[in-house]
This record gives sequence, C-alpha cells and structure tokens, in this order.
Amino acid sequence: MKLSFGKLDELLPGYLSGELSDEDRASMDQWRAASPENEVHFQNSLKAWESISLLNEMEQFNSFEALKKINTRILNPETTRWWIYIQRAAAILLLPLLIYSGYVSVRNTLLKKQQIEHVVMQTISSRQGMVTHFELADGTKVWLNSGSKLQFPTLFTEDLREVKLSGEAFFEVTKNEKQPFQVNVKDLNIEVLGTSFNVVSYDDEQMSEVVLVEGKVKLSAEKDQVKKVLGTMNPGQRVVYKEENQKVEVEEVTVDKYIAWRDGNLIFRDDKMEEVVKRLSRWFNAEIFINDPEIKSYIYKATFRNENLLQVLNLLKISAPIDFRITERKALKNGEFTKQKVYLMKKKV
Amino acid sequence: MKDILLIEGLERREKIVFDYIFNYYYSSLCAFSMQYLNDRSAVEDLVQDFFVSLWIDAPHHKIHSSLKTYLFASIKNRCLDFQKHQKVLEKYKTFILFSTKPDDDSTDHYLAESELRQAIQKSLGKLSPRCREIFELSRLNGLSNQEISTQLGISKRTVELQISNALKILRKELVEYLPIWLVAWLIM
Repeated sequence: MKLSFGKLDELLPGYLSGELSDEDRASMDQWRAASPENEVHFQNSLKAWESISLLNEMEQFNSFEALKKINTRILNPETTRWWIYIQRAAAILLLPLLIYSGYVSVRNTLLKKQQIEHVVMQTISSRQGMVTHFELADGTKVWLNSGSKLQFPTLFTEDLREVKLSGEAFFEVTKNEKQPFQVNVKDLNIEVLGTSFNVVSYDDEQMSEVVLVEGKVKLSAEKDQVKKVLGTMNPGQRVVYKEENQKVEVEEVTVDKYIAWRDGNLIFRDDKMEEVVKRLSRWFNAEIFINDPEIKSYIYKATFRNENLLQVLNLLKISAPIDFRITERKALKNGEFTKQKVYLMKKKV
Repeated sequence: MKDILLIEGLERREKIVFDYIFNYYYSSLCAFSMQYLNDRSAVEDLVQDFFVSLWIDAPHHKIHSSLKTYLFASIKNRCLDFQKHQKVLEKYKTFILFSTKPDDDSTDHYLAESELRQAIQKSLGKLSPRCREIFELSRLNGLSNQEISTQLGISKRTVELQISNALKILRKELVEYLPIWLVAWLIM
C-alpha cells in the first residue's frame, strides 16, 4: 500500500496518540520502513509531538533544590576537612597544654606564696636637695622630694596597696579598682583609685597638704584606731589638714606650683615670705631665719630652676627689698658639718 | 553568556559561574540521562556526582569542545559506566547501542530547559489560535483526540487535521532545535 506524505500526515495524530485502527497502524509502519527519508519525516513529526513532554520531563527536575544538596557536598566537605584537622591538632596539643598549664599554675601559686612570705617593707628616702624618682611593684610612679621618705612593701599582696609617707611626694597611681592605693601620712589616710596627686607632710609640722592633679582621692583621718572620713577631693583642689583639730581647709589652686619640684623647679606664686623660706630651707637643707617680722608677710612671686642657694638669695635680693647674710658651715667633732645658716633682713635704703 | 567565559570561570573555580551552569543545564542533563537510567533518583544522583567532581577537579577538566557538548558527553559516559555496573536488561542494552549512535556527531542539538521552552513557545506562536488550542489540549492536558472532539463539540477528524497541521508547522520550526536523542527517549 502506497501512502503519500499528505495522507500520512493525516494519520499521524491518531498514530501518535494510539487511536489508530490496526489496519492504519500497519500501513504507517510499512511506510516508515519503506525508505530512510520516510523514517526521518516520521521522526521529525515525533519530535514535534513530544517536545512538550520533554519540557515537562525537564521541569520535574528542580535545579535549585539540587544545588542546595551540591553545596553541602562541595562547600562543607572542605570546611569539615579543615575543621577535622584543627580538631585533631587541638586534641593532640590539648594534653601537653593541660599538663603545662597545670604545672605553671601550681608553680605560680607556690611562687606567690613564697613571695608573700618574702614581702618586706622597704624605705626609700630622698637626700637633701635631691628628688628621687622610682616605681613601685604595681607600676605606680613616685617622686620623692628632698628630705622625704616613703615606706612600702616590695609586693602589694593585701587588699589595699598601702604606703607610708613622711615629707613630700608626688604619686602617679596605677589604676586597679580591686586593690585601692592608700597613702598614710601621720594620722591622715589618702585613699586612691587611679590618679596623680601631691602630698606634703613633714614630721616637724602640725599639718599635711594634699594637691590633687587628676582623678579622685578620699581623705580620712585615723587617730587611736578611729577612722573619720574627711571627704573626697576633686582635681585642682588643695586640702590642708590640721592635726590639732582634725579639720580640713579646701581651696582651688593652680597645681603647677605644687608639683614643679619634681623637675627641680621651685615656683612661688603670691606666697608669703614665711612660706617661701620654709620651702627654700627644705630644698637646700639650710636654716633660714627671718630677722624682721615685716618681711614675714611679704608676698613673693618667683620661679627658680636649678639655681643653688646663693643664686636664689641673690635673685631674692634683686627682686625684693630683702638682704641676707650667710654664716660659714662649721665642722663638728664627729666630722659632720652644721647646717648652713641664712639670715634675712630688710634691705637698707 | 559566552561559553569561553563560563569555561574560564569554571577553571578558576568561581562559584557563581558554577551555580549558573548548574542551574542552566541540570534539568536537561537529568532528562537526557533518563533515556539511559529510567530511575529519577538514580539520574539525579548521577548528575549531582558529576557536578561535584566538576567543581573539585575544575582546573583538571580540560574542556576543548563547547561547554554544552562537554557536559552532555560527560553525562552520557557516566550513564554508560553506570549501566555497565548494573545488570541491565539485554533488550535495553541493544536499544541504547542503537540509539546512541546517531547523536555522536550531533551533540550540539542538546537543549537546556530554557532553550527548549523558548523554542516551543516560539513555534506554538506560529499556530492559529484554534490549532494551538487543540494541540495544547492534546499535548499539555494529555487528552485523546476523541476526548478533544467531545469537549470542543467538533468531529474527531477535524481534531486530527488540526493536530496534523500543528505537527507540520512545529516540525519545520523545531527540527533544528530538537535533539535526536529525544526520539530514543520517546520510544522507551
């Protein structure tokens, strides 16, 4: 049976959908087998017929879901492998590390115990005319003025970092809230967190003085084991504490003048000659006497840098209506010398 | 995107390029594999395995042909390897041998899902509205010719003539796009 292309096309829909009679189906098969050309024609029709089915088939596969699976395989394996190495290394290192850290901590506690047992009080004093600068075990910086001394432990093991001062010192305290710093001068306690301040408290005086540069300090007086809180200081304040009545006087000051001695400078700003003389005699380890009561209340203003006593006295003579007389130092029998004696008097006009 | 750019990106292990290629070809590679392994999950595993190795060994995959040819050829080899390991029916095997012969020199006829969809849309657009309606009822909705004639109230002969017309046009439009392996896949 011969079929034309036209006749065949009419049979195709039925053939492809399987609705053709056996007779028509047989003739179609026969036609397909008749020539390669016929078969190509049929196959092209078949493709067109099934293209939508193929698309449907493709749509069954969800590439986004599959990519998620892929990502866990290609991204995690690498990081997982990497992690496994880290974990292995960590596990291997952990044991010696534990042993070592155990050893270190045991050694440290032993060492600390030893140190605590060996904590001794130490005293540093500054010779006359010299400023001594040093650091305490906690890093606190101390400037110790001429003729002053500071007593402190070699290691701060207590809850309080306590030092005892006699004379004048400037402190730059290392901050440590868990272990406050305290300066004791006679019966005055200066409690500090982290701050810098100047303290003056000479044994031959009935008063102490604190100048706060920065931070905060708490002052309290302690007499016969009774503690009396005096108050808290703010930066730029100068507190003078009088022992006799346990009272404080507070004033706002320019702090420079009070801490200049650290750098070897002596600054006087509207100070009475009485005060000037007191500081000069300490600074130069000399005995200075004021012969004329009029001079005592003379208000003086000057800055001295690295001058010796004679130079200072000469400057005083030039800048104020004051004259001076120096006595020679006398050798004593024990080989020491007497202090230099200076007498101040009114300049003769 | 240019093939050469994709291949270079893949060699440099750029994940964005890999993701693009994966999304573009995954479904068609799976559908393609279905002619060898008539098992949906086996097919997906096989294609995914291939992409994992493609990523891990990217610098060692030397791609000299077009990317598409490379992907389909690689998947085909994997399918054939898979069959070797499986005890496959003799009949099935002979069928594969027969059907894989022609596509060796016509690999460029492979289509990605998006490409096929575009070609079909374009071809369907060339049909008259009535013709397209009938063809879509047949192919998309899976109705028999008899069912279409009942639903539309037209004779079965008219339905067959319209489908015949549609095939005539689609054949012309799609023939250069459609892969030869589609035939093999259909016969299964």
